[in-house]
Amino acid sequence: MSVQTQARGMRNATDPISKFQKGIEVLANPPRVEVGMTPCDVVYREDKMRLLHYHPVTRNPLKPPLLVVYAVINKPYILDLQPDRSVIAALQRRGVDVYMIDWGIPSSYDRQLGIDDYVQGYMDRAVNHMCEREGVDQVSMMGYCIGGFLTTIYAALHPEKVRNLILMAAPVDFHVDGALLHLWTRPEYFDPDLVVEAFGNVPADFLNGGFAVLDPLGNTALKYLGLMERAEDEEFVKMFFRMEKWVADGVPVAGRFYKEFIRGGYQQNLLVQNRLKVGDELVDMDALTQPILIIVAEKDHIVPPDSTRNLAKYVPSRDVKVLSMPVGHIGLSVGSEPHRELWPKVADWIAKRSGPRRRGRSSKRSKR
Amino acid sequence: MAAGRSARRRPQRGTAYQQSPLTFAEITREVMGEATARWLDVSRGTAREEASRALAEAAPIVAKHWSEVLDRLWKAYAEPQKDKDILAAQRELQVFFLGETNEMMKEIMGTKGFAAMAGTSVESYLKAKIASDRMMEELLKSMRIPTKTDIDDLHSSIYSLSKKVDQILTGPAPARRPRARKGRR
Repeated sequence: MSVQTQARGMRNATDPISKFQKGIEVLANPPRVEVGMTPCDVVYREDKMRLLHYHPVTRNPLKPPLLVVYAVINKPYILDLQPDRSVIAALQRRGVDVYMIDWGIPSSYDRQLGIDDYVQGYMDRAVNHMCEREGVDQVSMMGYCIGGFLTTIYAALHPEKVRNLILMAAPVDFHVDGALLHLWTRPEYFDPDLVVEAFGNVPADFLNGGFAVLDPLGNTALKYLGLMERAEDEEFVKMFFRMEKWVADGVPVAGRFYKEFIRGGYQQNLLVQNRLKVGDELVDMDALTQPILIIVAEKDHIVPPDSTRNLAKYVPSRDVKVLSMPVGHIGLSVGSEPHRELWPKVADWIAKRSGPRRRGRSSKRSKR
Repeated sequence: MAAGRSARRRPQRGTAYQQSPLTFAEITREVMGEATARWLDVSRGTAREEASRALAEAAPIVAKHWSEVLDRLWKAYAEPQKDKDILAAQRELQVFFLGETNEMMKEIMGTKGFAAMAGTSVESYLKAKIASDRMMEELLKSMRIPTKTDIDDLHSSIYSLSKKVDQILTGPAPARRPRARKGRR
């Protein structure tokens, strides 16, 4: 055996040990990480909700501005996790003027908040504020996850205010195959009333526990093995801990909202049947005539791809485009491939459907 | 016990919270008993029947995935690749084993048996928590201390009032019945 072969053998034998040591070191002393670094102002507040406006980076940002609506169960900074993996920054660089709703953390007072309060209350007032501020009568909207469910409802109830609708891994059709959450929440196995009776607002730990077991070893052993393998890669380690921070930074869900979402969504699938009632109004998918972009994560184990993709079957819009990526639910916003391939396309899609429309011009694009 | 009864006889002073209609003895006997029984249910495992059904459904899934793992192991040891680093091959096997186990667990969790077992377990835990919280609330009420339910009721009233104010400010409600509202004020 040559000296080189022996040396290689020694290096290979010690490599896993040193990687393991480095991994343990990193886990014991995690680096300090920052998140949500794109500069923004809070331009509107109501109860716990804040409307953020990101400082435009181009001279003439596109009109109408884009309102990003994130889910009510996590912090929205996943869309701005780090500068080179920020959806917000990626859209801004291509001229999109970005606003985002941060729902805040509900207290026991907010236990009574239902879908109508979120859609007809907070979202509608945020849109009105944006229109007032920007001198426009419409906005583009992008909803992520449950935020996409809410955005779909809003766009159907207020089509005149929504120029373009973008849905990103949004649960819309709940009766599709291949999702554990859909099975576990069937009425014969799961009673959301009991959860709310026990907790009031549904705690983040209860929700996160459910999400974690959807990919049991992927969220535990395999994740940490991955860290051990790449413990010397500083950028990877920082990204890892940014993700860990976000996962641990869950938000409880308002009790009434949770019941309405599980019953009306997972258990009865009312939205796509035009049977979902929000306050006194019935949500009619036939009102969705605006351009729609559907973004699907092919490996999503939280929202199955068909749950979002099927929206196209239920809306009369003639301008529906589907973009899909071979990533998971969160990978859409933080993955390197989506940042290389997807977000430039999304920004271009928005740009093609934006224009200098100003307040006062007729903007009735829909049946309503 | 006596303290509970005398507390019950105290005159109401228009407090925002309500006194327990139960005596201390009743709280101890009934409410605590209920909570204890619920927690015993949890510790005994209420989903035993569902668990045995889930196991029956899981067995072929386990067999399928483990036969894959054994097959891969057999190949790795029976036909070692000469030019392959042994440690790298072992790491590959380790990742394959964990990946296969992960898939197996997901498949098991996707069975109706597992869903029923998980549903029953969660339900019994929630019922135990509700019973414990009720016990605590009844004890607090017996001492005339406001409880979480009292605070929730207050929040509920504030929420309803806020909705009415919103309707008055933005909705058509004032146009429909302006006089009645004005008169009340």
